[in-house]
Amino acid sequence: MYQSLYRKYRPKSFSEVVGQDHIVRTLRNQIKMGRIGHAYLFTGTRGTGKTSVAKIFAKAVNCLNPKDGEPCNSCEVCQAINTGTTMDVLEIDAASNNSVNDVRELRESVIYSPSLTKYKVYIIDEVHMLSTGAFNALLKTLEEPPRHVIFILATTEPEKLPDTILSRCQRFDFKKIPTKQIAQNLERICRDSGIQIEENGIKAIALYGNGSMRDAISLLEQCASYKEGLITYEDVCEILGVANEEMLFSLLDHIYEKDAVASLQQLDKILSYGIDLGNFLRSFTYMLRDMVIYKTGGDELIEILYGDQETIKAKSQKYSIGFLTNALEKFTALQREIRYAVSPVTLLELTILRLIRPEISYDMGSLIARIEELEEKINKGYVATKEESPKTHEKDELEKKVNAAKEAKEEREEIDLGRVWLEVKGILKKERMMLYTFLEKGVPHLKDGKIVVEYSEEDALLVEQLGRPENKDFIEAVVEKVVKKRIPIEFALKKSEEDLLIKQVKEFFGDGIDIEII
Amino acid sequence: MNYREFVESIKKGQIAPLYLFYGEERFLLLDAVKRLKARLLVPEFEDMNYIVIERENPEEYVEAIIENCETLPFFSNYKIVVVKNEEEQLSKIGDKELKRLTDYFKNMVLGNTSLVVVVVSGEKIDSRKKLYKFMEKEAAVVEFKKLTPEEAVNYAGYFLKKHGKKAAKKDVEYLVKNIGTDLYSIVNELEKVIAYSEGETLDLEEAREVLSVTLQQNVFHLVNAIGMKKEKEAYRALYALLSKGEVPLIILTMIARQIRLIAKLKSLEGKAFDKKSIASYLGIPFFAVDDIVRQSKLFTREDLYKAYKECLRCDIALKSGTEPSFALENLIKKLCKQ
Amino acid sequence: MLRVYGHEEILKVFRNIINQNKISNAYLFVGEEGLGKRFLAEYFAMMVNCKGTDKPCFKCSSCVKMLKKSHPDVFIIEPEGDSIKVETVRYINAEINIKPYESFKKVFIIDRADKMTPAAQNAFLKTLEEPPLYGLFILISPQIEALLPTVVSRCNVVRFKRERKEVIKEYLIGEKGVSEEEAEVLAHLADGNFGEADKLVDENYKKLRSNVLSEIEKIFEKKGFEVLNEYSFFEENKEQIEEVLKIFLSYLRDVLVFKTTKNLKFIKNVDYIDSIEKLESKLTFKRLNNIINRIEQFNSQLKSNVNYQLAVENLLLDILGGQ
Repeated sequence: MYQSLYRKYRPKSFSEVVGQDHIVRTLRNQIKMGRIGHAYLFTGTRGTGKTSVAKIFAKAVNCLNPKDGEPCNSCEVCQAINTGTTMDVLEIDAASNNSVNDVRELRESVIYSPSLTKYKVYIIDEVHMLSTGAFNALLKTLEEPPRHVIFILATTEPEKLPDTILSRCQRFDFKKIPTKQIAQNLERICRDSGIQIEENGIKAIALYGNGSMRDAISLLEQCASYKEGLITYEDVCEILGVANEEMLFSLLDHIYEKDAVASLQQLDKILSYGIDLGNFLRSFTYMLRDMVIYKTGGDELIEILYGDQETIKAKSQKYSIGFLTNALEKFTALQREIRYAVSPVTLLELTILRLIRPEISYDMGSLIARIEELEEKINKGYVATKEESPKTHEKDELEKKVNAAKEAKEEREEIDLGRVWLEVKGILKKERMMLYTFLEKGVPHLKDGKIVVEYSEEDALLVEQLGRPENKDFIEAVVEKVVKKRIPIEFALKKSEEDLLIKQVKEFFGDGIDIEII
Repeated sequence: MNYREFVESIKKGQIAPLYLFYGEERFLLLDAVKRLKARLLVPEFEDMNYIVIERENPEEYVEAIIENCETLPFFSNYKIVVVKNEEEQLSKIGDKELKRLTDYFKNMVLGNTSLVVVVVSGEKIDSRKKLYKFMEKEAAVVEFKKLTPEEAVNYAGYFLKKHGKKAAKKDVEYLVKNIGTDLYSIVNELEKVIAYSEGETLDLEEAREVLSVTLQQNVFHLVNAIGMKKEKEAYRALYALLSKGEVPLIILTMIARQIRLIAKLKSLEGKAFDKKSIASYLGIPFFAVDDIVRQSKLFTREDLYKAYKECLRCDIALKSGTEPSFALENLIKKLCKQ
Repeated sequence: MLRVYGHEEILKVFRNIINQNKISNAYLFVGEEGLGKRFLAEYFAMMVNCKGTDKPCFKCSSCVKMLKKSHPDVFIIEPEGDSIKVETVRYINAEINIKPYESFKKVFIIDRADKMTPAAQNAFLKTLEEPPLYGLFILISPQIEALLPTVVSRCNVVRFKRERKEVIKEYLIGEKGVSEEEAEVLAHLADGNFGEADKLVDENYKKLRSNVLSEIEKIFEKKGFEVLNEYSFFEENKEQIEEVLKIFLSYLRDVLVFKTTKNLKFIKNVDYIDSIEKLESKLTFKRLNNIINRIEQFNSQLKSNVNYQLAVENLLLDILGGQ
């Protein structure tokens, strides 16, 4: 009879159990010390070993020659339990036996001594499915269980159990098995059964198993039956229906490099692999999220990455955090929109194109990405030219927008700075010639109710002079005479064009920029 | 009487013919029954002289009780009859039957020197009921109250010592604080700790590895990290919760609950409230007050308004299909902002 | 005789499985609608029970019965209304215990297995895991996520992908009698999906598409409130509004992609290239972006029971965007 891989490689002793070391150590010691409880509760997500450990425990407490807390697996008792041929160790599915009557029957059978074993072991799976009445009935037996009985309750949803039941049991929480350990076990199984899969393929299967050994082994089996001979990483991705990492990063690169043609081609390639759109988005967003997390917390947060740590570490160097966060936000939103959309692929293509051309988006995320881009250009020594290149064009557009906003703001200020300034300079020309010459070189702006006069770097000395109290006060007094109200004046050095642009954008849109990923 | 007094009394040989056991601390209640058995019954014939009466149909109780009380003990000075009344079965029988029962108790049980009847009720009793009026007059009533933290610490320390583990008092206090004062829970957790740790002295770090930290505790770590605006730690705490398979919406509910408690505490600011009243106002256990106070110092009113908004946003996001870890991570990012 | 177009890899896997006699007891065929899952499920069943050497031979008694759709050992299960209920699964559980009349395998094809209620799926688990040796289940579902993981883990998954354009073209020419030129165009539009291709050759659909596409041009030529008159088109096509929107979006998507790539090879509606080029120069990226989003928004509005005429009129006005 063909036995599934999962059945064949199910752990038969504590030492074979993967990923639950604390639990295994505790149970083995209890057996060695003879301190066996009568009610246990195993909780945890599926495929983490609850039923396997329960059976091993049932063997160990009943084994005729236990060694170091482990069952021998060869005595009459161990074999009977392994083959499921003794009524003294029973596996009960609470989902299909969840009524009060079922539990009553159970309680009645509990009274009778075991026929073969020392202890009768009842393993009740998915115990959270019991009705309230059934729980109450079970509670009575858990309170004062007969000496020859051990209950092992198992569930994936412990929060559904009443507190009274919880307190009566020794609770063991099974954790999701770390991907590395799953991969190691898969490798062992492959070696043992002659399955040939590339290392990266095994890693991918382990990752996809998401903490469940059973799921991972089941996936391994599917991959193994796919074809004869060596199964490559690409094969695995195909079988699992996931885009392989290379394809995803390639797409991200094209987007980052603003290559629309390459991006759409890459997307088409990914989709033609039969990868479900939802899966693709999931993998892609996890990848983005991982890089954002790593860029936020570095090695401190490396343990919480979903993907391969080395890859994320290496790849995240390439992109700026503004870009990644913006992309993550847009793709996460897309995941929701796509659910009921008429044309999901169109929305996906649109999202990609919008990421390539953020200048048409005015949400915060896109703006941040834009600012970062400009900052990057400054750092690289970008010099603004007068050519009508698309980049300048878009910069001009942005500048136009910002200036328009500024002008609107200035208009609201009620003073005609141009006219006022001329008047002021006129008065100074008559009364303080030196100050007049100083002012001539500066460009006045209105900002936040102040007059800021800007100078280029070479005139730094003038700024210093003008800033002196006796000079500043005099000029402010003149302004007051002209405008009939006191307006403070500042003298400052003009920043480079780019800096000004960024400053303007930041000023216009506010400094505390919020990124919304909802 | 309480547990201690009961144990003292039977040590001195003061056995009552009729007992009423009730209260929240069921472990001790069961222990009291065990002690009674040990004191009165001969091990070889224990099974024959220890009878538990429990019937599906309350109407059958009185007949069963009387029948079983009538038979003599078997090679023993004493016989114990335990009447299971946790679900107030005896309150469901008719007045006539009840009178029959109480009369029987009064006439046949109280004078009987070889029979001990123990009526086991639930966590609370209603003294207005006829049965309890009678029991309070005629029976020895033992209430098994929930342990105080101090008593729980003492018991835990004693339990550890009995099983060969030395433990520092503050470590035991930490354990009780995390496990609670219910003895069943304490004993079950300690059994694990005793089996897991291989040294003679209790190592708290080791113990933590096998303790079933409840969802409450895990979320406490998370919320505390958020409260201290320790973003990275919060992400790790969240990941730990999710990898244990905790349900995202439940995690959010717990975070929101914590924010709610902090906000409510804030509303008490400036007013004179002692710890007990705070605990009662917020509906939390006494020993949890300190933590909430500490956390509330780290959130301004502005922070709390924003936090509320973000929790709602997260709820919407989770329900409209946003990837749970992203939605919660985003919430953390918002809440941890300086 | 039955010709299979495309599906080369999957057919290879089938042949391997049968030749090596490594037939699992449960398969899950997964992939978008219209890729041929049901067709291949029946084909596979035919292969498995074929008595000839070259499976399927189409000549033996088993193959003939399959072709006639009256094979006594092959059962097709489909949803009743919206779901497959527990009772149906109980029937399967009982029926599988009866040996096949004359075949190698007793086959149950469960189409739209994703429509099984959770109770039905649970009832199915034991049988799925340990059916009799002669039992074979083929589950069909558009997505894996719709099924309980416990069910999926007990099946061998076979993924269906979009076919190459050439395959669809051959299919259209061979099965649907379409001319070479038309097949070229339609294959582009069908996006590798047989079901989509079938739809495209349907006369009614062709007419609808052509109407919608002219309507689009018309809309963009309107100015101001006169666009409201176009409501009549949407009223006439209310029953098929989702199809209409799909066509609309497909066209706009082409305009958008052409605009960004300036490359004709990305266009799907290749028979409307001129119109697309014309519109592309008229609309900015931003406006296209807005219109596409607006149409999807319109779609969700419809799902929440909004007044149809109002929704359409709003959409029309927004499309013109004050131009």
